[in-house]
Amino acid sequence: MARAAVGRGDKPRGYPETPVARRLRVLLALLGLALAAACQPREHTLTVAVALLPSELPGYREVVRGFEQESGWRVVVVPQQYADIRRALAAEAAAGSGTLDLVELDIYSLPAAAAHVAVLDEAALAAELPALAPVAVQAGRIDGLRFLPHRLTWQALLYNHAVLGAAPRSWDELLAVARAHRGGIGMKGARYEGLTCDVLPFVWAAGGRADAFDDAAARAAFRFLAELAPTLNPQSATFREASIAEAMARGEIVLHLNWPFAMSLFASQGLAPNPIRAAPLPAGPAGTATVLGGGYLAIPRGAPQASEALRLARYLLSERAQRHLHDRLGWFSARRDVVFGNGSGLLAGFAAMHDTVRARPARADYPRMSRLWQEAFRAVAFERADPDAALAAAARQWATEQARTPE
Amino acid sequence: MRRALFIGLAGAGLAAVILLPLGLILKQAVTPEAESFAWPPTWLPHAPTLANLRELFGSVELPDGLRLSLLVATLTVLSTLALTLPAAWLAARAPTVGRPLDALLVIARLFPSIALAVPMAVLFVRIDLYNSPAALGLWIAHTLLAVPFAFFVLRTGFRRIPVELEEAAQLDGATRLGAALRVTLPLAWPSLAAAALLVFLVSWDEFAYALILQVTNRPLPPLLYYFAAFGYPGMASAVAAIMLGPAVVIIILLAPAIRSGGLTGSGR
Amino acid sequence: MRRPQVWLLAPMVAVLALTLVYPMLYAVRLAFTDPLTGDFPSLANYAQLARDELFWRALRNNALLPAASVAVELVLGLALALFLSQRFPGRGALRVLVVVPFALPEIVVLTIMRYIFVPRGYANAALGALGLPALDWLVPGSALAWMTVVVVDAWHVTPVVFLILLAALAGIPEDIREAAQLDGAGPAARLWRITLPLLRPALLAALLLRGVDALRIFATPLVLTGVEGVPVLSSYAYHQWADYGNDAAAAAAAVTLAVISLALSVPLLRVRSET
Repeated sequence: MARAAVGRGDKPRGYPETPVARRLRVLLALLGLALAAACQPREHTLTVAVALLPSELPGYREVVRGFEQESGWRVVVVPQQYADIRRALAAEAAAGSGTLDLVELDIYSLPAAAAHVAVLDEAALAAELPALAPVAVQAGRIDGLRFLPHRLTWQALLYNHAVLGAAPRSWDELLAVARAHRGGIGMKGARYEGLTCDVLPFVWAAGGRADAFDDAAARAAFRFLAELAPTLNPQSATFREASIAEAMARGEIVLHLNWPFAMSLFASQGLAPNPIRAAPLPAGPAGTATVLGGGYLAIPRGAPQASEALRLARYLLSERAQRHLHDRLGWFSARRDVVFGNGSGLLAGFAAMHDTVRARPARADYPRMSRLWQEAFRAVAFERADPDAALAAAARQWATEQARTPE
Repeated sequence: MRRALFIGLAGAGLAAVILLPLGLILKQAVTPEAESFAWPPTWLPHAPTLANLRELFGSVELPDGLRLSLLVATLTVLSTLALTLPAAWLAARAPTVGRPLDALLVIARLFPSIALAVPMAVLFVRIDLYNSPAALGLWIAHTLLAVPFAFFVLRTGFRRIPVELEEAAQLDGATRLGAALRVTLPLAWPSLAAAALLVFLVSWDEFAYALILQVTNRPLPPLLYYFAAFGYPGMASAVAAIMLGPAVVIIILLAPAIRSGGLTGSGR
Repeated sequence: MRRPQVWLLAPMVAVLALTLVYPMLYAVRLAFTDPLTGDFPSLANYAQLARDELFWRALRNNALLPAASVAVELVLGLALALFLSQRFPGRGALRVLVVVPFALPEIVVLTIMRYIFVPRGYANAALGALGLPALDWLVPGSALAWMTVVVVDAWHVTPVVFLILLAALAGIPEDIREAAQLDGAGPAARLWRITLPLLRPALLAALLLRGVDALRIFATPLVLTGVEGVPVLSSYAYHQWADYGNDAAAAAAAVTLAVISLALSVPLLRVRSET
């Protein structure tokens, strides 16, 4: 920019308003208008946080629309991961007030979240409670009824029918398939709860328990996993539910464990039931097992519209809504009158596992237990560690941590 | 002749490397999801569709995310300029002051977002700023992030305005500050504009703090991450295409400055 | 200026201090508190990190990745600046184009780059079309994953280096280059003996700027490979916080990164103040 002559009170030439500046003025004005338009008051709005994947969002919103029409309230569905919902809930509980009216929490974190949510009025739920399976309702009673079963899910074996023919039904068959298709088997091996959901079924299928790291059953399971390890797709080290489903959709793997959402994903791509199908998990020495997952609804203590939130919760537990969720999203219901597997052959494999579903231990220190399973598995699968040694290390660490925790 | 060929090839190659990923975003945004998973992937959509965009705009989260991103970016521009204008002017006029400031700003730049974001999140929970519906906590974090950028651009701009102008105004009876306000500031308008655009961009693009400090009230970047990490290429690319908008607009606005080589938002 | 009105600095410095110092002190406190027993000070978190193989990988990567990134960006940025200082038609448009990657939100860049580099993505499709075997661009455990992260980061960030060097090149008077040409120096010799030495201050500025920034790398390896793929301290800290809810371990990793950044920036700052 040229230095121009200086005159008193004189705007020097050489510093004209540049095109940049002119355009910026216009942009600012537009922005102001946009912001003004976007800031609308929020009357009669309920905010509910649910652990939905993007593929499940439209289906869920359809269900919620029924409530909106009936009640005249607007429902904002915020899709999040369970960990994020837990964090938001804890933050709002600490602050004493918040924006969330209804939250969904994962089934194994209920004890930890109990203090942040309100006790529900059982009289108001008189119509819904008897219709729910008592076991499911009981799980939601922690110092009073705080949690209502929103959905139940569990994992099944998803496999490529065109490549594999039939699904492996035993551990031996699984190993044979893995060796015949090296890199074709995927496991959710990232360091998170999903990994534990892949590992525990093997431990249970060998007759083990979630809190016993070092017994014979756990060692049998891990020895099997150690044999499976060299055949796993290397991306397993970072696979999570969605990335493994994506890899399956792209044909990078031909077999993995996953939740029902994956079948909806594949169906919408035209990939299910051909070539991708669901089957029960392969049976181990002590039978077969799968992990119970799913979400429970709760009303945060600082919910702005608690009574309306309860109405929404009741709606979501109604037969109509639960049936819709089952048909549309493949969610299994805790309602005894919504029977799973109806209406869609896609989920037959899941339905077949119904009697072998097991819950993870409902204890406050479960996350630390889970982490040790994850570490042991990753050591065996990705670092070629000796399975017995890995389990022994996990058992030692568990004992140390138990000793350090004050009672 | 050979030189022209080399330049042509190099230029074309450069343009291709830059434009190809952008083209793929746009392609995926209008590709039906079923086709997105095809192998081998298609380079141009066989059956272009607006379904992805339609579904996005039908969702509640996108307009909210858009509004939040705009709000935070605008607030950040205002707060950052308010903080850095006086400081940059002073640093331009009094170099001795400028040097320790440089060190402070470099330290501010180098702190990893993570190192600050996690404790900030815990702190904000205490003071009820975590996951704020108006993203106030995020605004604070973005201001911290943007201040070094704005400071350097503004200081460079002020340095280019001759001190003599202020001194001339002082001879007319104005105070030092008055002179700065009435004479220098209007002349610094182009730098101000450039700094404002840069800060807006920094805030609009920012990902780490947004991911950590906002969980259910999310601006666009974490929203895109959610779609990309957990969902379909089509929807993710549609969100990405929307996010490209302001970036492209700002580049166009700053184009004259870039062409002439005058935009160096750092150091010297 | 006779009496610098230092109070003009106060708001900016105050905000910086508050937003930097307070969280950092809190992080240090978190890092040295035992989450199981509440003891302070305690090294329990660091003991936990030390047991974690992922932490050591993250530490190693945090040293190597930024170094590689900065090296690549300096070379590329210099090449681009030299190329785009030549006079040819379309130079202005190309200059604007080159800056575009930096203006894009990094999550947008990472989203599309992931779709390009997954095993069945566009890159391998292109290789396949040319009859070449597919590469393990982002597969955890492959050496290529590391390099892919560096390349993607370079794509996004090189424009910054380019802008700095371009401005510096513009400041080199034509006559010096012409004189050297007249003296018979070839382009390589001109570059090495004249241009580069004159560019030294700008190169150092770019090195400082990018070096400091590169240590903070977070989203690129996280989104491209997942934290277990190419771990760095920042994504490791995020993983501890987000996946495990372990604030204390996250703070411990974050404090480690902050200390490393501070330690590495001191010599850089000293170099800068000398130029």
